[in-house]
Amino acid sequence: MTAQRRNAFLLRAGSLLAFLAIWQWYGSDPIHFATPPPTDVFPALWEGLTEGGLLKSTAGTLLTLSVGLVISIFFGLIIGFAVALFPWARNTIDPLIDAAYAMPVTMLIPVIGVYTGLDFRGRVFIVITYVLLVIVISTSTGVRDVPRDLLETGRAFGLRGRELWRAVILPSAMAHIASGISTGVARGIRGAITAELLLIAADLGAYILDAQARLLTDQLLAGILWTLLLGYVLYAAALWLERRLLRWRTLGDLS
Amino acid sequence: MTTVVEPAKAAKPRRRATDNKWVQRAIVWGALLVIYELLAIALGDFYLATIEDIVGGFIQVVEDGRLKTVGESLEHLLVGFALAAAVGIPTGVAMGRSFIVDSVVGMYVRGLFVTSLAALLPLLIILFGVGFKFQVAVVFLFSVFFVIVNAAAGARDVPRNLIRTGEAFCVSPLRRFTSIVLPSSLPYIVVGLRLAIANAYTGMVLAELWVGVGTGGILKNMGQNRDLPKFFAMVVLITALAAFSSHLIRVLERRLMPWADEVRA
Repeated sequence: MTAQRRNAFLLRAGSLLAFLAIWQWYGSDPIHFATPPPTDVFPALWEGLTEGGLLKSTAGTLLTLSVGLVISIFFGLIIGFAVALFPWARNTIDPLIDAAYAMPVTMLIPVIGVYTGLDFRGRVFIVITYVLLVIVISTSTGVRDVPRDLLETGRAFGLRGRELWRAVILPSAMAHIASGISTGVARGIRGAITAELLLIAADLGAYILDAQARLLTDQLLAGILWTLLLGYVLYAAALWLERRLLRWRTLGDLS
Repeated sequence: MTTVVEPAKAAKPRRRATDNKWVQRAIVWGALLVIYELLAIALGDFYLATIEDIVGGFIQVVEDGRLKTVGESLEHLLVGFALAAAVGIPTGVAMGRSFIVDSVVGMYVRGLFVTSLAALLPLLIILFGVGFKFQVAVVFLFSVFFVIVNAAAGARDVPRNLIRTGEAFCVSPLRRFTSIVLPSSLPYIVVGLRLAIANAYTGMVLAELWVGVGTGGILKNMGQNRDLPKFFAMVVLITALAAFSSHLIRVLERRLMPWADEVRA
């Protein structure tokens, strides 16, 4: 097992080095002016972080993301519970959710500004359109799919109504909801970046578009790289937090 | 006769008409449409378009020959999606079956799978210009990772005892691959393709909105001119196309792979 781990690590490190080497070789060729080599991009990234306002842009993007996430989680939980608990809501809202899920929400960008304004509220709205449905779906499946043996055990111990909810249904649904929220973080950052690039240039989107407009390709790649890394790190952090918070689930797991 | 039947009927719990889900849907969806219609009338045509206007807008969209533009966009979508499937399925299956491939390419795939690909668009424009290649590249990028990740999951989950059985019967590696690994990972691949086509639509719209051509360009124009009846008609049309494409893949799966549900269960 440890040997396999070491091999995996070596392979990954080798792959990363090879990638950087190819990029360096490819980017150093003056014909490929659009993709400057890492030796240009990383200094540009450092410069952006220390004096170029990249950190401030990141903070702005994160603010948009977190406001959108909080609103989505709030309404997502309400709708999700309603769909799970009331047959009426399930029969009528479920197909609507499926239809809405099929819709490429980016289409709405040309008209959203009139309803929400082009600034912060508009961006938060787009984040919500990306995140809300995931939370609704994960909440309703979580509440609906409580393992039957858990329910039966709870009932056998004389739990009813509110007690059953507190001791069995909610903890069991929590796993689904938490993984829905992790997915929501990943989708939310996509929504935030899309909004910042397409609705009106702002924060990280503005940083990238500005570099593109001035053809500062090293700064452009630095901004893109930073944005990609940010999305990845946020999702990884959400996953880590999810596992950490739900650790009690595996403690008593005998199977 | 009737006296015998009546009590039996009464003993059953009474079924109300509102228990039928289609009755419920008719009531709730009807109410939503009415609310929307009232809202549209109250707010005026700068904010929302009434339903009859949207229907009229749809007819106009058809008369203006916009469907041809949508068709051209769909061509880009199909090319990008086919490329994504052609690259993604072998990569994913290789990732699922081989530890080395998974270690070497897995991190890029998983990284790009969760992160915000829209940030790559400015770079893609510099690399590919604003034409056909750019749009295909965006559709490809938006769909390929869903294909890879799901194909890898499928190839990883091939029941080990099946492979052992194959080995025990001295089935050649190639034969094992075509008759054990592929059939049992195909259902996962199909799930990947369905997620991918939904995202391919997002990619298509995004790319076209960005450079203002094709379907996205039409949407952008209609939005800027506040031509909402046509705009909403287009939105409904494209949503229907996206839902239909995903449904089509599912129907094909049921036809071609009747064992799929068994594998998934």
